[in-house]
Amino acid sequence: MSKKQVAHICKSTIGFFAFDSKGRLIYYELFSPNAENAFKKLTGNFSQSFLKSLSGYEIKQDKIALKFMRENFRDYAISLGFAKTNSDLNRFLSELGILLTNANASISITKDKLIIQASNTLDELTKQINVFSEHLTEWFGLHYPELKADNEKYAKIVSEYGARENIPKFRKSTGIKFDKCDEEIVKKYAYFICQAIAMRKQIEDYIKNSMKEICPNISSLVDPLLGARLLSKAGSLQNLAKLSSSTIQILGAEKALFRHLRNKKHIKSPKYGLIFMSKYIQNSPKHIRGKIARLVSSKLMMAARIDFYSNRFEPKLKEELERAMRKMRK
Amino acid sequence: MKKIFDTILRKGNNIYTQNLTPHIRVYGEKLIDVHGFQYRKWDPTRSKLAAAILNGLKIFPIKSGSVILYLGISAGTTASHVSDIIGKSGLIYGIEFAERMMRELIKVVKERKNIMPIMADARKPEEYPYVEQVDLVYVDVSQPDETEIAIRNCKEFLKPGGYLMLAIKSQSIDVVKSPKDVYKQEIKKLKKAGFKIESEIELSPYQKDHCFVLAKM
Ligand SMILES: C[S@@+](CC[C@H](N)C(=O)[O-])C[C@H]1O[C@@H](n2cnc3c(N)ncnc32)[C@H](O)[C@@H]1O
Repeated sequence: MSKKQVAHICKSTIGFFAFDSKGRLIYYELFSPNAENAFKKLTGNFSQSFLKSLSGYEIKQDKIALKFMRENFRDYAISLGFAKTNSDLNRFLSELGILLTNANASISITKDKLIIQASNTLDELTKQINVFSEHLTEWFGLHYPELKADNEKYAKIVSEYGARENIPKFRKSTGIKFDKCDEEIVKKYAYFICQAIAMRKQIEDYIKNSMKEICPNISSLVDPLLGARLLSKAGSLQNLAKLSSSTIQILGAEKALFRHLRNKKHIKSPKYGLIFMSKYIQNSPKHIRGKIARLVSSKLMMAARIDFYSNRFEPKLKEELERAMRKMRK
Repeated sequence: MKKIFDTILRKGNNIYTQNLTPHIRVYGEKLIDVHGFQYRKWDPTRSKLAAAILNGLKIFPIKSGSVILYLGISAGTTASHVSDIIGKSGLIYGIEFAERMMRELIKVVKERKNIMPIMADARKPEEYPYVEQVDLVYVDVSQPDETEIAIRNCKEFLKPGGYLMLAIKSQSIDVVKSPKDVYKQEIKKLKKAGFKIESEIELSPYQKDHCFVLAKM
């Protein structure tokens, strides 16, 4: 009986390879030469088509194949047409390395998702705190309608002092009297609001710190909290890095944009979305705000790209933006 | 100003490599322009390879187009200069197991595109089987079994006649023995494994109790 020949197979970064025992290449299947594709293939199983083509052989996945592959790696990559030059091959390997590392470590790629979740939670929490505070004012207002303070202070006062008689500078009030159990529960509710406000502050700090790490350039141009909202609207840093400057300019104004698209004659297209909150626009006279918005969003576009592709801080961006601003205001 | 090893600029006690990514710094190093090209200052207190060069390394097998396996690449301080030297036609396979360092390294990789970052343990080459045969293995992992790690990886990936660069930190191998005895003991291991020692350079005053070894397989 004739023994089957052995095919030694291995996975390489450029494809699946099979050698005979003397190191001659029997068969190969190249990946298409982009990092995403190679990443999927390399981290998956040998393809069915590859294994089927070796059906006449006894298949062994072993170090022998790896050794043959290693010795001729660059020759194969170039002579089999995977890459044109060594530089092309190296660029591919470097991108593949980033994908493998990210998958391994769940780093960088996912951090923007965490920021987005935190940012969405922050916006929701802020809304809720406002609603809670209104209710508190109404509730405690029955007892002490003369008390006036902003939401945060109001909750603090009620949580700290409870009944109006304990509040410093209290004289008289037209409100109804609270007994002990009325006071207790409203005091607790105020305390709960204080906690929520403290929580909001912590989330804000978390977003600011994370944004400075993941998006140092965006954070140098706009408030990191605003930067995080832009991320959230875009869906990811990668998406944001793909947007044109005019899309960034109206990010967050989608409703107004659709209204305009439906009725171009009567409704103007929006000048700005979220970036309206930027201090550069807020502090500028009305008639140049449109221009400033264009400027800010064009710099934001570059910032997002640098943040995504290299994450390196470029102080130049902010300097250029401020120089252009000064010119415009003259 | 003169060129050494074809690729490195030397001016007195300062050395520089030509910046592969003009205007971009990796670790706050100084940039200078010479005859229309930009160079990055290579700090011997931050990089043991720079210290070895300044202390008289005679053979320098890293060239344009070299393929290198780097164990313990960390945030890429030394690797960035190696990346300058090998250029776009060369490649560094960079092994590092600390996630935080990897994060820093990836920023450098995205700019340079001639480094393949690999998050793995250098004690387990089977975690990176797809690394090709290389011209040189550079080892700086500061581990007690560093020499064994180096030998194992050379056997697996270094081409015949290729070079090993090994930075020995005596403190991480034996805190009691004198540094000289530690170097001797580690070099003996290399010889036993079949390496020919080309150079052995102490790195003071730039690095305390470090020895840099260049060996050929
Ligand atoms: C002294 S630092 C290297 C500095 C770097 N060579 C330079 O000059 O820029 C040592 C590095 O090796 C890494 N390391 C230590 N043991 C390792 C192992 N078994 N596998 C991978 N990396 C390791 C450490 O995380 C650390 O980043």
